[in-house]
Amino acid sequence: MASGPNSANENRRFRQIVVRVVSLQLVVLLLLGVLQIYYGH
Amino acid sequence: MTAIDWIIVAAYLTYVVTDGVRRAKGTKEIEGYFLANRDLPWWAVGLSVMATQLSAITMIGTTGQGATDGMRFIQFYFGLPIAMVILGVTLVPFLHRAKVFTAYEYLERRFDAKTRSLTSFLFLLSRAMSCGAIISAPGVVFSAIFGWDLIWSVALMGIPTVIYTMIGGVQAVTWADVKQMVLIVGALIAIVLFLIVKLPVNPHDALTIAGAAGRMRTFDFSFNLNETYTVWSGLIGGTFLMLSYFGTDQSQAQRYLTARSVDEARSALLMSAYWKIPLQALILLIGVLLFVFYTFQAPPLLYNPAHERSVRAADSASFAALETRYAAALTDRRVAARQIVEGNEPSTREAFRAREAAVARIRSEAQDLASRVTGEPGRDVNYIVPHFVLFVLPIGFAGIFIAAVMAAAMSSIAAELNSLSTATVIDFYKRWFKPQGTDAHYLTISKVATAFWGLFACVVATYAATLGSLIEVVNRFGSFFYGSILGVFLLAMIPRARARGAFFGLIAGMAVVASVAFGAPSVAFLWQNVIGAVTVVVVGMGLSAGAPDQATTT
Repeated sequence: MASGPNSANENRRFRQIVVRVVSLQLVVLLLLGVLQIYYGH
Repeated sequence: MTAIDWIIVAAYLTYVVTDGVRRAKGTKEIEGYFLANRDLPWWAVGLSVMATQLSAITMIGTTGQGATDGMRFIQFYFGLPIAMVILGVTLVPFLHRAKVFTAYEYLERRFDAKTRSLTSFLFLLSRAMSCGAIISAPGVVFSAIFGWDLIWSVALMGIPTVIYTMIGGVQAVTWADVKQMVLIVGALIAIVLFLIVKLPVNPHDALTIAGAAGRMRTFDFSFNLNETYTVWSGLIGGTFLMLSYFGTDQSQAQRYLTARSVDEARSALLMSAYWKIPLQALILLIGVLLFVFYTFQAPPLLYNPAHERSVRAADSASFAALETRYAAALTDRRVAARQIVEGNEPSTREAFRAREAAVARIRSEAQDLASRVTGEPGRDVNYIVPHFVLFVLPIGFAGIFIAAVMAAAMSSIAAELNSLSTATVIDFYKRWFKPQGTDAHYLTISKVATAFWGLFACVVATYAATLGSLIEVVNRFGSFFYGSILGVFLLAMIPRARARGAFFGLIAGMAVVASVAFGAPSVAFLWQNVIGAVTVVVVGMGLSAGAPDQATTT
C-alpha cells in the first residue's frame, strides 16, 4: 500500500465510504427482515 | 406498441450510436481506446461498473423470478459489498498502480507468460459465452412481443452496440453506460409507481397477499449445499463470485483501470457496493407486485406467446380443458385474496396458499404440455414482464421500458466486447504475434477483434434463449471459471507462491469444479466459486513448496 499524507487522506476517505456502505446495507437488510417477519409468516 | 413507443426506441438507438461514434474523436492511441487515458471521474466509472453488471437479464429474468419465487434471490448479492471492500484494499491498488491494460498482464509480471495466457483464455471463453446469453435476453423479449425471428432481434441489439463500441472504444462505452443507467433506473421507478397506482389494493394489502404466498421471504438461514439461494451461499459463495467477477474479470477490471487514481477507482467500486442491494430489492419488488397485480387481473396460462400458439395448434382440446380449469382456479384465488384483505387471519392465508398452489399446478401442467409440443423447456419466467409490457403498460411506458431493456443489454454487451477485444489484442496478439506494432496498427486490430467477438456473441445468443432462466445460465457459465481464476489472483498476493504452482493449480481448480459440476450437479453453483478458488490456492501452494525462487513484482 502507498504511504504519505495523500495516502493517509485517501485511506481515511475510503474508511468513511466503507462505513456509509455498511450502514446502508444494514438498514436495507433490517428493513427486508422486518418485512419478512411482518408479512412473510 | 404504438408509433410513439417506436419513436422512443428509435430515438434512443440513434442517440446512443451517434454519441458513441462522436466519442471516437481524438482517440489515436490504444491507451485512449482501451483505458480512456486513465482519466475518467469516479462517478462515471461507478455508473459504468453498475451498468455493466446490470444486464437485460436482470430486467427480465430477475423481475420474473421475483414474481414466481419472491424476494429470496436477493441473497445472491449479499457478498457483493463485502467483495467490493476487500477489492478496494487489495487488488484495485495493485492493478491500478501496475499500469496494466488487462488484469492478466499482471499475472505474467508475477508468475509467467503461460499462466497469463491460460487465465486470459479462460476469460475469453467464459465471457464470450455469457455475452451471448446477455444478448439473447432482449432477443427473447422482442421475439415474444413482436413475433420476430430471434436472429433479427439479436441483430437489432448487437449491430448498434458493435458499431459504437468498435468506433468509440472505452470512452463511448463508459459515457453510454452513464446515460443508459439513468434510463434504466428511471424506467424501473416508473414501473413500480405504475404498479402501485394500478393495483386494486393498497401497498400494505398487496404485501400481505404476497407474504401469504411466500413472496416476502428474503432470508433462508438453512445450511443446505443443494439450495441455490441461502444466506450462506450468498455470503460465502457470493463473496467469492463477486471477488472474482469484479476483481479478475477484464470486463469489470477495465472499468476501474480507466479511473484517474486508485482513490477514484475504489470510490467507483464502492458506489456499486452502496447501491446494488437496494436496486436489486427494487427490481425484485417489481416482480412481487406483478404477482399481486396478476392475482386480480387474469394472467395467461402460458406467458410465452409462441408456446401458446404452438400448443393451441397441436393439442387445442387439452389446452382448452386446462384453460377452463385455470379460469376457475384464478377466480378462487382472487376471492381468497379478497378475503385476506378483509381479514388477515391464519385461515384466510392458508386458504389463499391452497388456491395459489392449485393455480401453480395447472400452470405446471400447461408448461409440461408446451414442453412436449415444442421440445423446448416450458418454463416461462422470462416472459412475465414482456407480457405485462405488451398488454398492460400504456402508450409511451412500453417504449421507455423496451428502450431501458435495450440499454441494459447494450451497456453490458459493449463493456464485454471492449474487454474481449482488449484481452485478445494485449494478451495474445501483441504478446505473442506482433510485439512491436504501431498504435495505429493495434487500433485497427482492436476494432476488428471487437467486430469478431460481436459476431461470435450474436451466434451464441441465438442458442442461449432455450436454456431456461437466463440469469442462471449466465451465472452458471461464470461460476464454472470464476473461482479458479480468483484462486490464481489470490496466489499472486501470497509471496511464497511460484509460477509452477499457479499454472498447475489453475488446471487443478478447473478439473475439480468440472468434476463437482458433472459428478454432483445438486451442489448449488455458487459453491463452485469457493471450491475452485480454494483448490487453486491449496494445490498452488503445495506445488510452490520447494520450487526455486523467482523475481516478483508485488
